[in-house]
Amino acid sequence: MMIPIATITANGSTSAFDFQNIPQTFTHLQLRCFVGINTGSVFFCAINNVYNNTKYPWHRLYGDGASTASGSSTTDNQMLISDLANSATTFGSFIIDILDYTNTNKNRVIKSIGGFDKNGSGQVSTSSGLYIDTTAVSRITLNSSGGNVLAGSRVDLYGITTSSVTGA
Amino acid sequence: MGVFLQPIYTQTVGSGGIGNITFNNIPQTFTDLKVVASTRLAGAATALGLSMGVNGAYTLQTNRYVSGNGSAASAGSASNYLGDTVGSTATASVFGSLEVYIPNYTSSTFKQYIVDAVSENNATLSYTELWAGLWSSTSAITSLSFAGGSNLLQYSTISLYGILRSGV
Repeated sequence: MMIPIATITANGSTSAFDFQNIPQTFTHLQLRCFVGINTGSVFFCAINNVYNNTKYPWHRLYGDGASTASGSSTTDNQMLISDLANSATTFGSFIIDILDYTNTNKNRVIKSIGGFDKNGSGQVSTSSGLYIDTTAVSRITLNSSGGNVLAGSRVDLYGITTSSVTGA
Repeated sequence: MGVFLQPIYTQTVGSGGIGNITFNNIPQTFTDLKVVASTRLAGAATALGLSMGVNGAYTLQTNRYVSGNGSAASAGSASNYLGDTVGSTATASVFGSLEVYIPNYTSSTFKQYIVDAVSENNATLSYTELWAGLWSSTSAITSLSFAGGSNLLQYSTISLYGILRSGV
């Protein structure tokens, strides 16, 4: 099942969506994001309040309606989710998944899909990143590099359960 | 009223690995299926392909994709291919993140499905992919299998979910 955990709605003075004390009782996490900003900005994700440029390699595939590209980094101190719309009226939509977020046998893989369209320009992307640490995820912070996001921007955090039946 | 994203089955690979994960006797009472996979293969590569068997056979599937490898984007087609996951030479304790969505899996028409897959690795080379697939059979889907060209490694996990439409 997919269970709502928490929601953060921006009030115009919000530059980060910070989910703390995440329950450890689910198997997977999903964040559903509706975020806009009126300046050039990138949306980032940090785990457990760790900002370390050896822990967040990321990769992405993106297109702008005219061309496609792929990019990566192994030196950022948090994971890049996507560019944001740079518009006073356009909000981007993103879905971010973190599977097995409490499993101490796995480093964390963060996967996202999303984008925005400004009626003449825009971007769609799928991104992935690593948090190179097997510590359970108890805090997720989504940061805007450009400062405060538009009022009404919202991020919802969900927990996802799994079955104990194998079906084998 | 049905539960959104109802867990049906989950399998986790034990020590020694396994050649495939199979879900049999899939209930025919949902509208759509969703598969969530966190996997790593034993083959010696950064990333390797997964395939999905339907009703016991890895056949009758045609696929199209867009892919980014960390430095370049590409597109193409394939057969009987689900997407890429992590191989044994990728960063340790990293498992690929892959989701499959199969709408109308009990219908008497051919079955479409979409895949969102990332492999991840602490280096430039890693894959972010979107796939669309067609299973050219009018049979209802009663079993699903997942395999690569080598064993699925310990701690790999695949979960199957059922989704109901309104009014059911």
